[in-house]
Amino acid sequence: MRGFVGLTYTWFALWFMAPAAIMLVYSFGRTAGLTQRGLVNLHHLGLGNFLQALRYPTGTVLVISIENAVLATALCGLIAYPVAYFIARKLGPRSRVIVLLLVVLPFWTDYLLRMLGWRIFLSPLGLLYGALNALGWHVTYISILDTRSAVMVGLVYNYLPLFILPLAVVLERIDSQLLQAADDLGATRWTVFRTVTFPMSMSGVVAGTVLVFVPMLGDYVTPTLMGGARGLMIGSLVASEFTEGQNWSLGAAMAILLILLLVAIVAMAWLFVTGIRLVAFRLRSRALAREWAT
Amino acid sequence: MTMEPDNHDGERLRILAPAGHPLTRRGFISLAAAGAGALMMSSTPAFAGTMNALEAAARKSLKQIGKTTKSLYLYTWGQYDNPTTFSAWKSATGIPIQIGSYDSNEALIAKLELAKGTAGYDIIVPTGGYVPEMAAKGLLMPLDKSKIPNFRNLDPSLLNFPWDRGNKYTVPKDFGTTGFIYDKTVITKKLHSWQDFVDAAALPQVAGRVSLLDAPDNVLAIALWIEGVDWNTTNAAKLRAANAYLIKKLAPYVKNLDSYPGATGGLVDGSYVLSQAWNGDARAALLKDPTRFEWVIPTPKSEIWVDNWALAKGAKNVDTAYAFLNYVLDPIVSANEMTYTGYNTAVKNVKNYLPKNLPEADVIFLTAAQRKRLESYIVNSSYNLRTQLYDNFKAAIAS
Repeated sequence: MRGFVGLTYTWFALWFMAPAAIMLVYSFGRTAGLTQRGLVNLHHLGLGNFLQALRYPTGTVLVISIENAVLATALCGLIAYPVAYFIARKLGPRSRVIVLLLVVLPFWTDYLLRMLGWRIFLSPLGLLYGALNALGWHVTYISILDTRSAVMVGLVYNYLPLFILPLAVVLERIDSQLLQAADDLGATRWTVFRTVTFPMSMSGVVAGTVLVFVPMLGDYVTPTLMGGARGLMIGSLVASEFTEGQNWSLGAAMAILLILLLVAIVAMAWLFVTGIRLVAFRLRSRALAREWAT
Repeated sequence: MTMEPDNHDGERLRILAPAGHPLTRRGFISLAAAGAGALMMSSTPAFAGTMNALEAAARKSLKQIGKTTKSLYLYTWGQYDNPTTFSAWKSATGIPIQIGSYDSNEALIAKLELAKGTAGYDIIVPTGGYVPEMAAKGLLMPLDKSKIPNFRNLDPSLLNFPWDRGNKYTVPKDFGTTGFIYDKTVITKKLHSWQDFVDAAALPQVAGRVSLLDAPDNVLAIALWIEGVDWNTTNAAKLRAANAYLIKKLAPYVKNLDSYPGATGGLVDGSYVLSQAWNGDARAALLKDPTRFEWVIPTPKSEIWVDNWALAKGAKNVDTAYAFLNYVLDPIVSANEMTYTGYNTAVKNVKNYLPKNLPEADVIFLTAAQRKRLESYIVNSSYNLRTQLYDNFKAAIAS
């Protein structure tokens, strides 16, 4: 068992940490050659790439990306909560397994294929167009594709299961005796939810939010396939520095900055949660101390 | 898929895939359509005739070169050659062609540069403007034209471009132009220039239904041509000013950056009513709805681009590669390529081997007067700046 764990760490170091380290080194290098592009020259290390990466348009695109990710995460949460609640509290054990399987089922198909499927569905004269017209709602063509709305559809669709799963686990674990007790003490169903269920599911909400928000912010496939020029996000910008720009050092610097930003966001989420717990714990112990004193 | 009635010219290709052929310069193909096309072609006697002619050309080319190796590695754009060009070569010579594909000149250069001559490719297909950089990086092998007798078939006006004087490294594969196409039912005024293009984009019925090529050089060129600045300038201030003009005058009205507005249907389904396009792709839209669209090669200037065959440094099958280059410069093979890509090749008189009533032929064949105002972009030291400006332009569209 210990050998297996060691292997896991080696694997992780080799295929995740090493490439990340190469990126970090590249980000201090410079592209060289006739056209100042191509392979990274590491003879003159400096912070030039980071300065360039911080300049416009990185900021503008980053703001757009954060807006998209925040909105899509919120939509995911709003959809995921009732679904997870239904799965965890309303279904029997057997049907729960089946529904959870249905939730993760899309992951069995390649992500690119699913996105292209959405493109076919939403295309101007595609399936949605046909369906609307068949239902008598006459439209000349559907103009959702290659907009920010299309990116939103793609993001919510892709990441929704990652929000539902942790939330369902947490909701399932809530002791039903606590709900019973609240009910016995005269709380309405809404009060039970507001004062018992929801506060106790907060860790699931936070886990879902982080799990969904972090990859969304760096997502490159969804905006590229669904958003076109109007759905640009930071991931596409980084990718274009590696591909059409062939400026690997600048792309690496942008990627490193993005990683730092995400680490900061996750750290803040962690501080937020532990902070709340800490404050709650202090308040409770103070109240208890006062009780004992009297 | 149209069929030409039988005629007496034995070598004339009778089959052409013009109507809605989903392929344009580099890349896009609908597999279903391609499959259906192949099926139709292989079941006609004309197809057998074409295959025989192609195989004869392949045998002749191999004979001219003498002894060769038995393999050939080609690195090219996805779906950029007629599959029958390869299958006829293989059945005539017994030499299989291994094909790798890329989707940008940048990817091609990166691959060759990283491999340092060990990539294993014999023939590559760079665009003209990238040739000087590739030559300077030592990625290309100078051509021995005595081994390509069919080089004489090439149109002299498509040789000796500034990016490869004397065709030291390259043989033109095909060429085309950049212009724009618009929906006459929406834009009733006749458009001629790049200025007209920008002005029309702001019209209320057009705004938000404009597409531009997803190519930094082509987009920036619009402003440079309007302002009368050399497309190949390295002057940072002028490049910045041109980009600022685009951000102000064009970015608010752009729906998408789309290199294939014709073939992928954006123009036909009405998503776009004004699109910057390559001629072969514009023709795809014209073939679907000839009366609705108008194709313009704008004044004052526009682009002529040339994609070229070249030998990669470190090539192992050089003589086989020469035989293959000679083969594709045979007019019958060239015509076979044209029927597939929809772009003009640089082989003289290739017209004689194509159907006489080729629809929308004037979009493919450029007149001397049109050729006069076309120029090429050559990658230069402003590359990084241009990429950065393009990112700015993209951010302006998105925000």
